[in-house]
Amino acid sequence: MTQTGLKDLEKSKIITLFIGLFGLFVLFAILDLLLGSVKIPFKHFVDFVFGNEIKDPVARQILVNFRLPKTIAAILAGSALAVSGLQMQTIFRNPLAGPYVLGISSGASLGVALVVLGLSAFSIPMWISQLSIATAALIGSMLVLLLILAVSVRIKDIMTILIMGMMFGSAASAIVSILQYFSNESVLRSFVIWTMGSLGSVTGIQIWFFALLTFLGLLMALLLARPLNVIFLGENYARNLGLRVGLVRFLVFLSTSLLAGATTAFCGPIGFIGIAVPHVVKMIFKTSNHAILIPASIIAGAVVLLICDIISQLPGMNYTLPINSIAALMGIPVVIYVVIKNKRFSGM
Amino acid sequence: MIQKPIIDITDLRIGFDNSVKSELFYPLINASALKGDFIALIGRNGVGKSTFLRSIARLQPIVSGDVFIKGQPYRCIERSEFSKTLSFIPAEPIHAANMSVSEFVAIARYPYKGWFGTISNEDKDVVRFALESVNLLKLSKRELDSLSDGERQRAMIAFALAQDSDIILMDEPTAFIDLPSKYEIVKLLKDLSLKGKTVIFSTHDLHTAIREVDTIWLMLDDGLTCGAPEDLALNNFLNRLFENTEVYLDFSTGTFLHKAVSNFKISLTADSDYHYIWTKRALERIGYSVTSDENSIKDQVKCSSKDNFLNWKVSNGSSTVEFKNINQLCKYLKFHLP
Repeated sequence: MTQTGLKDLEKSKIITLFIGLFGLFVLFAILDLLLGSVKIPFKHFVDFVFGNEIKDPVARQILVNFRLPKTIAAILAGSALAVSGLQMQTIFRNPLAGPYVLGISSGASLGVALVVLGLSAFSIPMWISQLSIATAALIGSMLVLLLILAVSVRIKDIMTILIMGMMFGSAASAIVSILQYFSNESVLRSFVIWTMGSLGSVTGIQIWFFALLTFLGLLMALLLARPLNVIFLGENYARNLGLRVGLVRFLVFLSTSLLAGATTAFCGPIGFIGIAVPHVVKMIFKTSNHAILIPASIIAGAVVLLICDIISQLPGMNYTLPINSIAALMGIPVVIYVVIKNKRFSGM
Repeated sequence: MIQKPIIDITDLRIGFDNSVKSELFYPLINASALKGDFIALIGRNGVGKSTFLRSIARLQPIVSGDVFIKGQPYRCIERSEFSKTLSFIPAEPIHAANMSVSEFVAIARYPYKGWFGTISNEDKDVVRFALESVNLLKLSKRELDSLSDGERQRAMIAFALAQDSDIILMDEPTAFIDLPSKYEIVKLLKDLSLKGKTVIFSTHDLHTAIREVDTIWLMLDDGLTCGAPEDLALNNFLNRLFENTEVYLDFSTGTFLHKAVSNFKISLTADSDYHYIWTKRALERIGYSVTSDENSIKDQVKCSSKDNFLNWKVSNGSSTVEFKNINQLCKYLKFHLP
């Protein structure tokens, strides 16, 4: 009797938390649309939502063509990074793992560097469009993914896979450094700007493609919730329970690569969100059940990146800050807190 | 009626196939267990107990031979079917942040639910029963990481119970816990075997194993020997476990003793048996060999009680020193060897 009562209490607590989290999500999504160098009145937003014509053509232009794609990109990227970070922390049983531990961002950087820096080195004219950068980043991260998947099929030890991922990443970074060394200043600048991340460069057809990849990755993650719960206990327990550890790992890597790869391709490498958000979610929900953690990370990741975006566009000013820096400044305190709190790292 | 074995291990070669030399392999293993058997796997460090258990649990490939589970070659058994038949609990204490004891135990229902299944009422009953059996029902809402090592070990046993398998393999379940918890765990496992589970666990705790288990699987360097603890003792197999070491099995008491090097003889007399026994232990501990014959030996210890106060007198023929407790006696004798 008390048993079921307690269960119901827990259930209602979790539902309340989800409602609260979703409320924050709606709030910050609206704020993200309205705030910026040009402040858009709330009634324009209401008109927009209900399909009425917005009276002010400039406001309409800004809202529909700039703010909306950027807000959608923030939501997609935030969810994708948070979920892929959660997956990596569970698979590697390491609280400091994140979406980029497999070397996905380095692979994407290599792709972009090859396009931006490599082509200019051969004095091919600067026709580099945003789409070709995204394509190069996607191809780069997919190549790293293929390497990791090939390794994960043959090598059973999870730590070996982790080290392989780090090595692939370092190798890609080394090649990027060589390319950087030989490129001229203006090209170098455009590459560096890509590495700072940007939510505003995803436009038109790209947003659909970005959304498609992210939805696929998130769907896979949701379907993997139960196997992730089992694998969370460690490989011995998972295999003892008859879980196909190799297959689950393969699918998780695939999902993570879709999520982190697409985000890096369209928004550049955005660090720390992927490590920090899953910890915040675990602290709030106090569970290790991935059927709760994954949906919660989807919403919380979006909320956090929306907040980062609002800060980065410095409401009322004409500047925007690199999203990557804001995300790092938001995420690092959380990571430091986790490291200090964790007995294994702090040595307490 | 002859019962069919639930586990039948025939000519099993364990280890890693790419080992350099074949003579490094452990000799072929033949053993079998019946339903309800309570078996302790005993062997020195590094002999391959974990490898053996992991090999039976299909967590590690075998080199050759076969294991039959309920008459079926174990490699032919389907994954989820195998997990419903055999559970393996590793030696490492389980750690998982933000997970309650009951959440942990509920994960053991995975083989019955598959990839998408959710916990049913029947599963909840099984989890409840498992927690009840290990006396953890009161702690079921507690976080796994807040348990003591003994409680954690019981939670791991509850996990195996929730998995509801006929065979339970445990790698050193008593390694990290204190003496009362050790007895509690072994008694718990024994109860499970009485209820029909086949329990095989590896341990270094010989005293408990000898007293409690039906069968010992003894992993010596030259092969695995199976038998009742008493048979293995009488056939001198248990002593072979500690060949070339400082430890031996004392046949009169069934305890393992340290081969004390005693260069000095001393005689001991006491008013009561208990005083004699404990003083003798103390003297042996500091390197004396003790006799009760007080005539032939010059160095003597006499323990006597006067008005409820004990005192020990040490004499070497010429002088006598008195002590009020064994601690003082030992401190004196340790550095004033005759």
